[in-house]
Amino acid sequence: MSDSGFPGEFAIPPLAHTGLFGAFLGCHAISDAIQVLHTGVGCKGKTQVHLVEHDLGREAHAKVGWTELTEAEWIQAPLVRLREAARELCRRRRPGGIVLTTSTAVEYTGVDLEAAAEAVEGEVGVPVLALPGVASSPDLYSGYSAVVRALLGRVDWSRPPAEGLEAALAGYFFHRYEHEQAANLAELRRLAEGLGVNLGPVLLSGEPMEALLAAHHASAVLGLPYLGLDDAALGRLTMRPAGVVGLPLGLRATTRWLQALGGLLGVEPERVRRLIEREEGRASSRLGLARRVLSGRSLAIIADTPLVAGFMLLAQELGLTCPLVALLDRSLGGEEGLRALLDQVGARIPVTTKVLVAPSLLELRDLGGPLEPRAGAAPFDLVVRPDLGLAGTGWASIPTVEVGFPARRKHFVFPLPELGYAGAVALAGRLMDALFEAH
Amino acid sequence: MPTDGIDKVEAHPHLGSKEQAQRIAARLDQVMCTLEGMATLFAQTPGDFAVVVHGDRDCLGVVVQGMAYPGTERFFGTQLGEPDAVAGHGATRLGECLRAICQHVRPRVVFVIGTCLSALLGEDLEPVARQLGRETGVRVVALEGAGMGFVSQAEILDRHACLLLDSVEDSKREAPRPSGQLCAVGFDPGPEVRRLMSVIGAPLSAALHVGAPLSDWARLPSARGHLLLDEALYPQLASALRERRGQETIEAPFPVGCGGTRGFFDSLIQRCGLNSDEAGAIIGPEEGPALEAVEVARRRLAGLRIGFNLGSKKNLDSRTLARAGLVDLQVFEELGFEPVLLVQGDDSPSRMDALEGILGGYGCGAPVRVFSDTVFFGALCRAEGCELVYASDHLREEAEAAGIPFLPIGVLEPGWGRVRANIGRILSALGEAQ
Repeated sequence: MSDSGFPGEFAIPPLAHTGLFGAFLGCHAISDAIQVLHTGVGCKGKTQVHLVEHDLGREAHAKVGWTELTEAEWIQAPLVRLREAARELCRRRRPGGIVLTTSTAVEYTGVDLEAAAEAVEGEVGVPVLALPGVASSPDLYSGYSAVVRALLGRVDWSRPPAEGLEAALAGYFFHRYEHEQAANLAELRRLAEGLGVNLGPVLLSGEPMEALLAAHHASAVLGLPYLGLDDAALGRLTMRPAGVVGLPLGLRATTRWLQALGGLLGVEPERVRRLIEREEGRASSRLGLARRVLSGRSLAIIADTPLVAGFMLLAQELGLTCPLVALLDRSLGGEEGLRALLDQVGARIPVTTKVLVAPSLLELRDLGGPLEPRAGAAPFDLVVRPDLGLAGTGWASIPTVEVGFPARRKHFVFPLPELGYAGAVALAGRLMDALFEAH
Repeated sequence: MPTDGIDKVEAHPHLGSKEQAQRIAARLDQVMCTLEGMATLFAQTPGDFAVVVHGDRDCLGVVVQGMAYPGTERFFGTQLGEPDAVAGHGATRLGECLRAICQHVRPRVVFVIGTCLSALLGEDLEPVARQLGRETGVRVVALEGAGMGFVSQAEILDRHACLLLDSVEDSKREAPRPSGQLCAVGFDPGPEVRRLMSVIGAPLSAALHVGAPLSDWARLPSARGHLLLDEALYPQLASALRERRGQETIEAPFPVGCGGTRGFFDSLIQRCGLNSDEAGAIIGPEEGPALEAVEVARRRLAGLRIGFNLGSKKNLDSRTLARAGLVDLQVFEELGFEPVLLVQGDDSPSRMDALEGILGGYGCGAPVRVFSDTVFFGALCRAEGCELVYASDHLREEAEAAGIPFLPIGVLEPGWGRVRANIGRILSALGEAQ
């Protein structure tokens, strides 16, 4: 349909959502929060519908309400309608908190969302997180991180931490109530416990608002890239020792995560070393088997920047080459951010790797090769990616491991992790299954 | 009473009659904005066209992407930023976007959909579309899509169908010769009914359901007539087909269950002037076993109370929207269920009056109960003593949490040959071994 050279500024991206959906995703990841959209009727279509086939674990329809602003109300008294709607939604759904957002068009008329949030909170008695500007923010990740940061801003960090070693994890990308998420969290908690650390609230992880606001119990805060803050900013916000590291995906990244956690909490280095040695040893022997099959194969990685970094590291550990990586986000640092994440474990982007930053859907579709390639002629042996609009292209015939958001074809009824040492082993198994087309 | 967006009623510019006003007031049709509806329908319609969303980038967020949604690469956006909006550069951006599409993508038609932002800026899309059409030779069609107001799914279906009709007929050419075949607008009657239609002499040329390709819509102008489940869903299309093209429209029930399938063929036989004896001899043997299966199932199911949900579904499916959402009710009625209608929305006196009028107009006298929010659905099912619920799929969790067996709307298949399978689904939902 297309020729090359189409201006990317007009083409639809593979993930077309902005922060409005990301904020909804963040709200969905707080078990008792609801999102109030101060918008016309159409903006509901930017939220819950995108989870219908992605999250089979939990219905999202009751997580959103909207003011159904009409043109007349928009002009006359838009905040009156907002306050009425928020009160009524609270009466019906009894949420533990509200995430308040509006659309770009409404925002351009100068609606003061923060003032509205203050008024609504006074009326309904639960925390109201206003997220001004989120609809015009670059992507879903920026909306998600806005929720996490707003929550961190509501925690009373002046209160003393609990006794014992407890850490909060901020910026975990919880996108559905399925068992890979539960498995990830269980694996991270297991590893933390190996250091004698209790992993407290995880922002976000399906926990209720009240539990998240108790994050002040933590004596340190470890951030992940989806938080959108650096070490210093996280430390200032939480008044705690804080650090931000890459996703613990693959052996080296998991080791780095454990080292950072131990370092923040002052865990004895020898204890950290022993745990890492034991865990790495166990996982390495299993990955050795996968290496025999996967080594030398090519893997394309299409995902958000932190996930790409994690998979690049895992690919190296499995002997896979990465001729192409595509960064789907527009807010997580781009190629420079990818370099920085790899650099945390002393890795680099191979010279043979092509890095695409925020490609358009048209551009991405063209890279999958012919729809029905002759044997051995597909451009990649494997691809790791979400479910994007790639039907009718060569991508459809390349063995695929579906990860991230959205994943409409891969669901988890069994707790199979992606993160931690156990996650590295599980992903190696999934890559092998995809290659052999035997699931 | 403010709500999650389900109970405000406003006047509709295109509808005027008492029945139409009642239909709007009854609000049995979840609303959406034109952009969301059109984007959903266009994304699912294979064909050589492009869609431009003219507004802020956030509005591209209504497009659901993925392997199951082929065709989203045909979507483009002017992606207006605040500086564009403030400086009034919207039309310039739209022109640049259209030129790029016409030069690089070269589709047969480009549909431009406006947004709240373009409406806020007071942009007139038509002149830009006309100019670009003249300049590039590509047909460019503009439509307003602002979401600040009430737009029903029915209206969106009608507008989408009219746009596709316009895009496939070439007004400069002589009207195509009628093919002698029928088109089913908005639904697919299924393989068995299609086969029987052919055998009795009323073959189907195309089933123009959601997802039908543009090439199938191209058969619309040459069809002998058009089957509609409910003319009220397609007032503008029906008018265009009848008045502009002199074609016949035939209203027929959806062929589901014994009664629906019989009603469908009776309408067909009568309106197409078929020999009823000959047609009856063909369809009779298909109908007999289905009637027997219903009779057997009635012994088990008669008297059970079914909660039949209306007004919750947002799927742009004319089968769900036709006849106020009552299409599948007769399947349960012929099995002896006692229905209670569980209607989403408010219970204001004006709405209740409108509901009574609309449902009565379709001959439905079942009791009506209203729930104002999906979170109250389970409690209502329990309070009404429902022993089975037939409802929009997103209500499953609410029903099951209340301990009520659940069947999702749309699961019943058309034709006499599927009656037994439908009964099996109902029994399975009730937890009975087959």
